[in-house]
Amino acid sequence: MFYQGIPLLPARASGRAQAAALAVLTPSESKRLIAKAVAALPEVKRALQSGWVIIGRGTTNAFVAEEITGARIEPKVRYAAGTIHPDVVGAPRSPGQQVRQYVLHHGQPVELAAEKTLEEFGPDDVYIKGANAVDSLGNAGVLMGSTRGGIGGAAPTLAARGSHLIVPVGLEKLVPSVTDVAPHMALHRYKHSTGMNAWLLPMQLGQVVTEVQAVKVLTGAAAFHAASGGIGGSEGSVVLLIEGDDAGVEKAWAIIQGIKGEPPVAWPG
Amino acid sequence: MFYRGIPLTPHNPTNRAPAAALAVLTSSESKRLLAKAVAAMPEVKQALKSGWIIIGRGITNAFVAEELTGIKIEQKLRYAAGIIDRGALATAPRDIQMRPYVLHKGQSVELLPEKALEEFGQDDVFIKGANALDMAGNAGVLVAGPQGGTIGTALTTLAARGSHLIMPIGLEKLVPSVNDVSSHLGIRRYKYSIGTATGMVPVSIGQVVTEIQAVNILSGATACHAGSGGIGGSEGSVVLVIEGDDAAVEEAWAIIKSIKGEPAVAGVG
Repeated sequence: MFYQGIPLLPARASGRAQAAALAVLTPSESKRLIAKAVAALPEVKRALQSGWVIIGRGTTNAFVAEEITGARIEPKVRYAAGTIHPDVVGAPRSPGQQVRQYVLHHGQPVELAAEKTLEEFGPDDVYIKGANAVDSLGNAGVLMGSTRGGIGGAAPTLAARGSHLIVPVGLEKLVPSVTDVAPHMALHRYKHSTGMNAWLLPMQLGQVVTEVQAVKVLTGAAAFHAASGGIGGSEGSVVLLIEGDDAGVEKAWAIIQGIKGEPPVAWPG
Repeated sequence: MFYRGIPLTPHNPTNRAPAAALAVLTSSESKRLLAKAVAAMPEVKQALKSGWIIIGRGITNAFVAEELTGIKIEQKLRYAAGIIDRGALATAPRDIQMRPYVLHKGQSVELLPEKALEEFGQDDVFIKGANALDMAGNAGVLVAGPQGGTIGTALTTLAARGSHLIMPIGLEKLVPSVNDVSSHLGIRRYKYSIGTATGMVPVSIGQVVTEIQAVNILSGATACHAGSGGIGGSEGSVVLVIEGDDAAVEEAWAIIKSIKGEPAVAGVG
């Protein structure tokens, strides 16, 4: 489901708002926007103060980790496990390439494996995990290259304990249906593959934060996803219509201006 | 609606076919796949033989024009009007823009699309890309012209005459709802915009061809959209599960292999 019931589409009856703006965000700009919103969520702030926060692997989460910890992660691919990079779905696995994923206790990074930390989790603790797919119902999906993986092991624990699962995912990753495609995918099923084999783990329990929820969380303005695409390095960009009262749109525009120019996420070498 | 009723999600999501493959296509590889499928459609072949075909402006249509005419368009930007480039809505420089192809009985003729449209009957074909696509098969075209651009003027003629409107659109451009968002956009509506202020023309009478319809047209296999994203130049990639009997999956895989490595579309620079 979407964060705090903010749907991908505001109620149609709401009509047009007073002020409007038209924004284009590249995938990396979207990731920065979403990361800022995740850091501003009340449950995240509270867990940073008095609980646990696990920031799972992924390039979007590299941005989230930067916003939450203040540390800089370069290259961001070092925070990822699986990636889609030139030609293939794959994972950076050469020694020393991956950085440790952040586990925060009372806001401080601790040297504890995510699996161990989960044993401490209660209803107010937060697990943040990006996704490779999201549908218009708010189901997120994670491509998995192994049978367990980080979120594969964590999901049942989070569900059982009612902990927060926050899923930052850009609208670039919109698919028709996560639940319809998932049964078609399995690790050992493919005769051919352009890279790693993968299956899709649906995360219906997560609170999805796309650009639409992010704009709302950060400014109170509404955002609509109007179009996507791009060339010349702007591939995967999204076009957002932002609406609200004048103050909301001004606030949103200041944030948009602040994130425009975010460099793309590079594949090292 | 989608080409010949091939929906975005399979009718029976749990009915697994005997063979499967997992493919990642970048934005330009998808465009090549769509173009090959458009060129293989019976109504397009028929119109190439004995009728009119208009290949409207657009990056995806540059690929379609290549497949239909055999002419290579090196700088695909030249075939476009509106683009998303350098993180903004923009227009291809006028001084480099090519004339859109108008084909009569398969031969390129020196006629403006608006003139050619006057000749259109029910078997003639207008091909037009889009900037947005939703699950119901509605396409959305961003327009900067106050009269609704090429599509705005052509749409009513095509509808009145029952001509074919073929719309090749990559799944990269999936949005939650074209119809809900269209009425919120308007070229004179924004306080701010990142680049060209645009409105959106919703199109519900087009026969949409995404990677899903394209795989089916070209090989008989089915395809599901499982995820999207990418880094390091693979932004806007789509992950597809391809299923079918062994022969169909092999045929699809041969096509996938032949389009892998399609160079990215360069922007203004």
